[in-house]
Amino acid sequence: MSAAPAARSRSKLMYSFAAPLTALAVALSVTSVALLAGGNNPLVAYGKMLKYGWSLDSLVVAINQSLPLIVSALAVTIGFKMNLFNIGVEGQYRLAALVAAAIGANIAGPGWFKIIITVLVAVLVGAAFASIAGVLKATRNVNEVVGTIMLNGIAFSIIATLLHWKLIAGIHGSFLSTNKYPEDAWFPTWNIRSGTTELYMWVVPVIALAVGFHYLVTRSRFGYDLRATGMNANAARTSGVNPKRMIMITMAISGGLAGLVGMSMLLNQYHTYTQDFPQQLGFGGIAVALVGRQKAGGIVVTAFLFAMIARMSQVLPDPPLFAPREIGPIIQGTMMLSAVVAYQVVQRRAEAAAIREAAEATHAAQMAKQMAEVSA
Amino acid sequence: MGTAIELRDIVKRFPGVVANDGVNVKVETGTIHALIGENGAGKSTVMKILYGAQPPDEGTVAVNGTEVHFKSPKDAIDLGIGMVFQHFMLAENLTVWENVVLGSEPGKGMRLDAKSAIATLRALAEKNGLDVDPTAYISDLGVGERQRVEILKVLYRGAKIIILDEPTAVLVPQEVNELFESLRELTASGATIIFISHKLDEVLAIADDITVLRAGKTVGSAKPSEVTARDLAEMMVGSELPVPAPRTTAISDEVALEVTGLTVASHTPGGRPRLSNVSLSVRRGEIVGIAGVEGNGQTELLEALVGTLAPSAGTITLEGRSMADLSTRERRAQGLAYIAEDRQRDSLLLGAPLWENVMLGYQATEVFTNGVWVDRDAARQRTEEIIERYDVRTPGADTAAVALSGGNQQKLIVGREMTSKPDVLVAAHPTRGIDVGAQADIWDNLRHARDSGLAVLLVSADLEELIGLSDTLLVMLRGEVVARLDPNTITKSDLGQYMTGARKDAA
Repeated sequence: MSAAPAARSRSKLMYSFAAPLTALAVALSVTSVALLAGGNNPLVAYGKMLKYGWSLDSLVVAINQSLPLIVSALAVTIGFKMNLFNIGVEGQYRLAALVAAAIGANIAGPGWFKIIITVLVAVLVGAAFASIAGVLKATRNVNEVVGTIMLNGIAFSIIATLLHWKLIAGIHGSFLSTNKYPEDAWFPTWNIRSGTTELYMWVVPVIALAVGFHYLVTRSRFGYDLRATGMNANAARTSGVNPKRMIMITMAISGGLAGLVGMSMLLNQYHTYTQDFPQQLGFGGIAVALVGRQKAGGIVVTAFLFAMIARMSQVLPDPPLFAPREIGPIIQGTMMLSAVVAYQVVQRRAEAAAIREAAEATHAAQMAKQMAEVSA
Repeated sequence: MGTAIELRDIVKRFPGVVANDGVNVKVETGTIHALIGENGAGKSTVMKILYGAQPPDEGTVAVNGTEVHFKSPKDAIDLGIGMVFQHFMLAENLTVWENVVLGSEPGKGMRLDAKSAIATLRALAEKNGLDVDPTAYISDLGVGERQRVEILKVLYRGAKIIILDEPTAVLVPQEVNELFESLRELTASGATIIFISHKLDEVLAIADDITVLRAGKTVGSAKPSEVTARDLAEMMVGSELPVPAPRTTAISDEVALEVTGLTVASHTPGGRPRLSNVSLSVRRGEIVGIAGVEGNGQTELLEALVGTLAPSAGTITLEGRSMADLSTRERRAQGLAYIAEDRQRDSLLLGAPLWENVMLGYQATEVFTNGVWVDRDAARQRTEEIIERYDVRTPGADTAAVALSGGNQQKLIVGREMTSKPDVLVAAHPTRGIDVGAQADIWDNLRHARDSGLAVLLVSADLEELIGLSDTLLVMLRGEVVARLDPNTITKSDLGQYMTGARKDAA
């Protein structure tokens, strides 16, 4: 009997690490093939990449670049928990960032006030825009995947239109962009060692957000209803969860989180929304959420890993490799595919083990009962 | 005439229960062989073994005199064994012939030969007396016709031995007669039928041979001409089975649950209402049983009571409070406990640990919450109590619900609903598909709760359970309450007649 808890924690540990490690191994082998096909020695390439990555500079850049990915993955994950797929994080964060920048940078007041207003507006715009899909799903049963994809298209068009409004944006340099935030409204950065890249202090609210997300999903009453709906919508309904209300609330939270995706870039990096504001982070978040096993901790680690891979692939085009830096996305992509497969396999194994264990316990109880009857 | 199927000393064990413990069945070619037994007697396990879905742990299966070891249902199909499940598996938006050929389509290359498929099907239907239009859409067909399509599906695949799992459960009497005629024509043309049921009058009417199972064992076999329904019932139940103890407590005069004029409109405009003007009341300390062939409005009644289906008319009152404007969650908080029809679909989070399942339905109550947070310790503690008190066999409160056997899952659900100290319990099929031991435990629990003042509305397909537990028995047919009966004087066969509409008085 005493061995059982130890075995359980061991299998749980195995479950946590077996899948991501397998995924990484598969990803590296596929990438090796791609490198070999390009006439490069994979070992040399990986060596260069690791060497480039192993520096304070790369570490800081990877952390900075992981911030929007973490938030984006959290936005996608809250929907995943109840089988709601918000594929519209892309449109939501870009629209939210533009509107927030247009208002935040132009409002009168001290710097901290501008920052708070920017963040609030971003959350509200993201939530409101995502809620369109939520309301459509709850009231008209419009599939949220279709709804949010369509809304992405609409968001991009709205952004293009707004950028041409004089009130919102003008031509600065050769790009259309919003007015730049004054320096007192820049979010603080930290120069760990002089001469290296500065760490965005936006990392603090992001980590707080991840921790809060973890508790919301695993420990709160709302999180329970959310997960119950995801595991078994019928049972959740029978237990008194109102499915329409859950859809609308969850979509709004997902959109609100999406609104925060662009904040590190707006408040810490560019201080303006330009025509070429970073894109694809909404879709990147989906990959991070999947590899991160839809858990806050996994997401933080995965986002850092993804950002680090992107950083390390910068070195690939340099001599003597001359390899394309698209090797980075290959690693990320194959990692995502093999992670999804590996999780399924490990999950089934874990489930089968649980069933076996329960059967043994039941059998033991029955034997004990029979023994008691015999001796009585 | 040879032997189509012979099962010898079949033993099959599952976690916590021996489902088959010495089953012997011998089915002659060209006959209708009934396999009868109570819920949990091991019929469905025998059926799964025969169909290759599960291998037996011990014993042998012989088909047409040759011993076989099925690895999958495909092996069984190849040997001409076909299975008609109780729950139909048909694509509603396809036609009859499309459903029949699905998976073994005639034609060359990419081309689907509709003409030959329809012709083959017509001939097959004609030959076996299975009247159905091959070009009709499934969505337009009634239950009886759908069942004929299911039978055609197995015939089309060349089945000579057809297993029918409780085929009459969903049929009205007229359709039962039509089915029986078809079955006779099938055997006349050389097919062998294995008919699984627990309805004695039907078995006596149709079968050539009968094998009776009890608690996983073959306890006897008989010819219908030589036995009465009473003989079979005694074989099925076993003389040693305890007769429900007559109750010693009195039923209170206080009405706990009152339903008046409850009506649920039809899915289609102008159609027959799914629930029509149902009125009933359950007093404290009373068990009111609802009998009826499945699909006669019981599901709608349950859903309207719990609040997941909005009635078009009528009132529901719980302890004097109207529940019309209350959500499911509020109804639960007001003291309504619910054991749903299908535990895996409506009552459990299979992937979640037991303690999360114990909260389900009560996740918003004070016991399990701490402000906006879930009180995990309280949930675990409550789970430990339920495991102990209701004899749930599990390694612990953190085990996933999926790991438990059906009986243990159900004991957990019963424990969960009872521990909430409800005023009214709505229990649907509380012992369906679970082993005999767990069944007895659950019945005991229901009786004890009743004696201490719980009002219970019991919906069940198990007539033994209904007669044994109920203080008042109502019969539902086509969405209406058609009879009010005294369980102390009614017999199973009389009850069956009320359920099928063959008798209507005493309403």
